[in-house]
Amino acid sequence: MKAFEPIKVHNCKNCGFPMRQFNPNTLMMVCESCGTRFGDSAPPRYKPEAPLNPLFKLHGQFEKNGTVWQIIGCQSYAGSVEEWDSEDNTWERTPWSYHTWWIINEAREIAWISQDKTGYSWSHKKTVSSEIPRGDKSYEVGHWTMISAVGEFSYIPREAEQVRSYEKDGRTLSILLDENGKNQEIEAFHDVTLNLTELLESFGKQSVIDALERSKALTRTAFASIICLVLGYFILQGFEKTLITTPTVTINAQSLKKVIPLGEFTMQKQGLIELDFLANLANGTGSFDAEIVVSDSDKAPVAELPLSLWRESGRDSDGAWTESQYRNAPRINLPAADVYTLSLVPDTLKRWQTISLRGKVTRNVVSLMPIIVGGVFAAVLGIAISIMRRKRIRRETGVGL
Amino acid sequence: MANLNCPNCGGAIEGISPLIRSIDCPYCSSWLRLSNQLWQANEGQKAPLDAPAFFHVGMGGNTPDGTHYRILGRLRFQYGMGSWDEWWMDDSHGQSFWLEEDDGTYYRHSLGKEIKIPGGISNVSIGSSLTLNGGPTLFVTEKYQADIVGREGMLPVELEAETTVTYIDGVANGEEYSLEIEGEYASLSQSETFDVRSIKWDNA
Repeated sequence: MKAFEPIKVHNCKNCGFPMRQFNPNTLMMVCESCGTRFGDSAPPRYKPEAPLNPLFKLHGQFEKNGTVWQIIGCQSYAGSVEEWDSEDNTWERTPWSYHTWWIINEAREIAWISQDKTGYSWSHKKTVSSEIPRGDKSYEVGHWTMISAVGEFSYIPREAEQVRSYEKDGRTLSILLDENGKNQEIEAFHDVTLNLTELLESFGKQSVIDALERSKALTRTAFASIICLVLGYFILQGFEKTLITTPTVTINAQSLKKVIPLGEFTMQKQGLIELDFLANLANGTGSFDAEIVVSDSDKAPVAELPLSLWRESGRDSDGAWTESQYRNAPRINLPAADVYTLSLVPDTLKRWQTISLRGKVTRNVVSLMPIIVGGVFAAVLGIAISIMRRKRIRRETGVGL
Repeated sequence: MANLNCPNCGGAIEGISPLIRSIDCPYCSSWLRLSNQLWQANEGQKAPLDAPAFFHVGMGGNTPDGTHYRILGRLRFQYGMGSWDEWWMDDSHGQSFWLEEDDGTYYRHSLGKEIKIPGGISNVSIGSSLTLNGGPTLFVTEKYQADIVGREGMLPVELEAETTVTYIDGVANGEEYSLEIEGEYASLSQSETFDVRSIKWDNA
């Protein structure tokens, strides 16, 4: 994009910087080098600065809908926004600030882009359609003081000029106040939020857009993989098959150290099985330890798995507590196709008189742990990419919460 | 449209509409005023218009529907917060109107209708309502005094440079109005947005 031709160049009376005037109707220029106002020969006590912005820079250009715009000035306002809090029945005041970028096109038409920490919006001047909505709780009321003005302006901004605004649904009634706090001018604006991707495109930042699109796709993929993992878990559960459900057995002191047969099951091929035992614990504190024995058709044990069920209770500084383990579901990999025998060898039974338990053997069992690990990893990855993407947007556009 | 020979230099000036009351002679730069149905030449009345603008006097253009517009004259006003130009234009349908630019938006308004404001406007404040006799009740959005700091071309008024004019801008029922005030009398005109970009200008 070719820079516009300035209609005049004024040398700053303080530092000699060539101030380029692009707007024929400009009445005030503030030197971008030293902050001296046009006509003044000494700089102000506090030098006004255009805010640092990765996109908007004085005299920078961008293209929107086929029209080239050039940035010619920036005003910064600080103040607060009052919003009616219906819960507390009071106006809630939030400190806020915004910048107004003055832009001009080749036809020397003026427009404004408003920037606050949430984003950018294109301000269109509109016909005032309402009176001042004083006290109307549906409006956000802004109280603003201009803290900086750099560039060129088609009016003479007073130092620390005061503005009051009433905003609702993107429509703003803006009242410029005079030095006595009285209304000086009333204007209406309609703010249209600018899409940040489109804005980046306007400034020719296609590589940034591509990077952001890639990270967006990655984030979506990460979250989609969580859904896939959960769906896969439920689908695989459909392939689980119960090989045997054991009868409920009651164990007492006489059952200890004796083999209790629980039944037989057939494996067509090697595979993972889950031995799920659920106990009906007696009242009070106690424990039960046993061994689950899986033997092959030659009566040779292929697996001996400990089974430990217990309940404990006590009292600490937080009060009474009880903990128990009434279920054990160990898993083993059976080496080959065979007919296997399942038996239980009770070892100890402490404090309880009896304990009854039942169990089942399931093959093609699906493990939840990889699903959880995979899901957490995907979620962490998705969130991390999303955070990095937001940081990148903030770095490239200067806005974003 | 009438033609005129400059009473100062004799140069031929063509295409003067009946509404025109003052002209800058393109040959000798005299300011010609219509006084008692006679054109008289004055000197030393013209103030410089040093700031360039998108338009210039003599510029013309056509819209896609074939309407031709001409810019005949210009007044430049200045007030406390800035300045603006008002351009006197006509079109090929015989209509004449003022065109003004305000922060990038162009408005057209025809010659105002004379109304009386009993009591004047000293008590009218910005943000208040102003009821006009036989006219709308305006919500006042701006009130200011402006100085004419320059003029050129053909104009329907004889305002001299450095004349001070009081203006009130307001809205009623979504329409924008402008009042040019002198004592208890005012000229009321309605402003309409005007799409200058739909015109293909000859010299743009």
